[in-house]
Amino acid sequence: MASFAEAPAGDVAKGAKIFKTKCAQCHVAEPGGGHKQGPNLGGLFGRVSGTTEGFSYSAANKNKGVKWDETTLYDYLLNPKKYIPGTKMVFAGLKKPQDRADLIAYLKDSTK
Amino acid sequence: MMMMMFYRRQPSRRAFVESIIATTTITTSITTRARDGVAGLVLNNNNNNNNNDNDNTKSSTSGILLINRRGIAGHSNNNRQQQQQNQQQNNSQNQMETYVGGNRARVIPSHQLTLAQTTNPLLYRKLIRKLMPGVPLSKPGERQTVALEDFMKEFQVLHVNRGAAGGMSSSSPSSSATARGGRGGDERDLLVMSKGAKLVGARKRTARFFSPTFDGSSNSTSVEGGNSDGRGGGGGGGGGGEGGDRQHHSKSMWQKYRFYAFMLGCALSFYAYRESVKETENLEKQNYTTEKEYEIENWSGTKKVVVDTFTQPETTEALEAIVRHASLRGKKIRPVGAALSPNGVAFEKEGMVSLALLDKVLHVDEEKKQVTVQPGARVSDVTEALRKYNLTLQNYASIREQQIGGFTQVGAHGTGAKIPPVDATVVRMKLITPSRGVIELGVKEGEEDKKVIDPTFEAAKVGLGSLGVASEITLQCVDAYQLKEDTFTTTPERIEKNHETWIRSYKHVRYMWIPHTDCVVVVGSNPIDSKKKKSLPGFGTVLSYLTTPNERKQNKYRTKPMIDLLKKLDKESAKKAEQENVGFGELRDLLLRIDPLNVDHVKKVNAAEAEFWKRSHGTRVDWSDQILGFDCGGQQHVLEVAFPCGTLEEKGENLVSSANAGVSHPSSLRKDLLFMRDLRKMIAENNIPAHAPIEQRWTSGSSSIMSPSHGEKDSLHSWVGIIMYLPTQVEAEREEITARFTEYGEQMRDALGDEYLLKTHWAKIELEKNMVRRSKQVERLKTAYGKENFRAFRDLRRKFDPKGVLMNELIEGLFESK
Repeated sequence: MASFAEAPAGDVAKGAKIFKTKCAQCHVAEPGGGHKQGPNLGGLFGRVSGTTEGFSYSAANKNKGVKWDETTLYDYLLNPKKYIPGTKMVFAGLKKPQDRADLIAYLKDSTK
Repeated sequence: MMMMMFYRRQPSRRAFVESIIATTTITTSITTRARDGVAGLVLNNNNNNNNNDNDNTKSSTSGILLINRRGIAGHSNNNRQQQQQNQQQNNSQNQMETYVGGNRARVIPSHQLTLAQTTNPLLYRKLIRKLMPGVPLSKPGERQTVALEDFMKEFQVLHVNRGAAGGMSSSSPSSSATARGGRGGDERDLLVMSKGAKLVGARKRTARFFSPTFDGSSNSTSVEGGNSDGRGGGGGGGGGGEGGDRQHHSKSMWQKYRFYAFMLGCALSFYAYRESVKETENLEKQNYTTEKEYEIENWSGTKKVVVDTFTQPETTEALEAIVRHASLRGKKIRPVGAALSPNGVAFEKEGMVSLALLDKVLHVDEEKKQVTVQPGARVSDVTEALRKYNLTLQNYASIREQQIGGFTQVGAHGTGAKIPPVDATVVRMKLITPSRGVIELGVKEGEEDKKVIDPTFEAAKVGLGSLGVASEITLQCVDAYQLKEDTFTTTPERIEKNHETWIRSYKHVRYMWIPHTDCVVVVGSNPIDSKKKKSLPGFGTVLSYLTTPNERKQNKYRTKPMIDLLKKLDKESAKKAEQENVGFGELRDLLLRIDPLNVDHVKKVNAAEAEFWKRSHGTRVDWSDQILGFDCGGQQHVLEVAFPCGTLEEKGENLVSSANAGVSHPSSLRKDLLFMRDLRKMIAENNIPAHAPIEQRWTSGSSSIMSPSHGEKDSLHSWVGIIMYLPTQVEAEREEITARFTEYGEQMRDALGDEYLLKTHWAKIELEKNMVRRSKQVERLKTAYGKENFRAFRDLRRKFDPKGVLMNELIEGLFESK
């Protein structure tokens, strides 16, 4: 379960709850919902890190230049600060593979 | 035995049962409660030989039996012995009923009284004052001891019980009085017997005493007597009404109905016992999730904790079950909302309960303009829900990501001289308390006209999550309105001249003082006709994010002074920043990052920021929730204090006139501006690398006793926040900034804390690590909030959460430090 290929199937409803508890104070998932302390996540999949218009990213985030998809998000969400050292994001990550899979399923669904 | 089990597991219900017994017995009974054992004994002494010199001659006189002995096993053994004796002597005219844990009554002769347990210093003091007026009382809180000899003078010692804890007790009548007089021994046996409400009238003749030591340990006890302090029937699993009036039942009423009362007690306790058995099973069935070793960090990245057990209920029932369960087990469940508080006020390593999934807006009452929400509903969601009804919250803080529970519990606020902090807009709330179950506080529906001040409600509105977990909150809203906001810069001198005007003419106004410069940014707004379209041009306050081409163009112009400075100091990042046209907040971080604690550097950055603001004069129009929000910038330390500064009426007139006359001397200045003079002086004299801005806001008074702006409705309070940014992710650099900021805060509190009665915002107060400083901190807290309010809050906290399952180190340090 070290990579997304081996991850369990994600549950959108469970992912929504995780988002609500752990992400929603800084992010809006729906496109056009505006930025908060973190960038709006609309159109997240396929986008390169640090490129959402109008948001002030950390240099680290911009320099990373990672393209967000299930595989990269799965790794990133395990430990964001390890994945992008110097990120401004205040989030310790999700250790459980199931949680990450659920959250990714939700993000995929809601950021379209 | 089942009852006894129940009692040990369910202290709150136990208190309830006791209180029922107690309040019905009034003049004749004392019920006691202790952690390890319970006994309430009522003596009905029908002996005609008694010296019935009190008012109750005709009715059967009554006595009080109060027994204290350590060790529950011995206690129940005694009961068994009593029972045997009862069987042998049930013809006796002297009848006594013992309630042991409320579960049995029996009849025994009065001279064979045995033991149960209590440990309440207040009760002893009361008894001693009544029974033995000659004996000096100890100081409150100290152990009360009375020499055996003194008792011998007053009472005939009938009986000595020497049972050690857990062992059998001898209860042979008329053995010699050899009770131990030492403190802290295992035997603490006391038997006081008297008759009627007038205890004194019965002594010597009927009172039997035994054991000289009065134990002053801290377990609580309820006493209901003629001079009871009115603890009343306010216990109860769920009810929570303060039933003090029940105390005044007459004695005959008690005698008539005691059996029913007792049976009721039994029935209730049996019911409660069954409930408690179900509790764990019940919790299993609830809709919630638990995570072990969950790491959570606050919004500004300044506090972090790895929580042993992080629980997330999805229903109110689950939340209630979690609180009940935690209370039974003594497990910590500190409630947490959005985890925005800079000081991590909601963090507790052992256990936290998240309210994020209880986020429904339950009901909007259009007529009363009130909204009822679950605690996890975010300010932004509530605002959106209210928009449909053309309603809005009375005020907004800088951001809108707070959950209503935390938002109100820490006493958050916006700005406006006539607008109270958010806790004052709470109309009613449901609170799940560990010891008393769910209680409803505040104005009841349909009783809005009654103006009853409920001290519990006034304490619970800003309850710091430590009186209970709010499960439902009703807020008073107002009609939605649009605001026209003016942003302009001025100087401290002009502020002093115009303050009294601006604070009145703007509904919402805040000053942003740029330290080490003579620039002050004034952001003031007033409602406009909502039908008008928002068409006024202008820059307005900081644009958080640049989305339109026009905004980007404006941004280039406004940030030029900062880009220019950056070019001098760090060419590379300046080039990048210019290319990307970064926003003001990020530019400030880029600039500060170069040398965040160097005062000369900070001065230059602040000067550039002042230039930015001078280029940002303008006006904008939008809905109040949009206008009142504010981009607080990057990761940061903040410390905000509140202090009273008179009323708008009181200081107004002479100030305006002196300002008009061009006179501006300290004596004519309001306290808020005197404070700013002193603070700026302190910063200058101590060369503090103070980052910008120092934000000054105002609110009117709140009735919540723990609100930093507690006071009359028309009182005026100023809130001042100092700041230091954390423009780096390098741990060592962050620590350095943290240390300097702590010092900055200390300098402010030491220099100005006492003079201005500064109260730190609950989401920003840090527990002093140094114990000397901490005791000073607690003293200041007591002085600033008033000793009475401080104590009232602390007592309620103890009442609702005796095991401290909702506490964390901060709350404990501030309210329970020795």
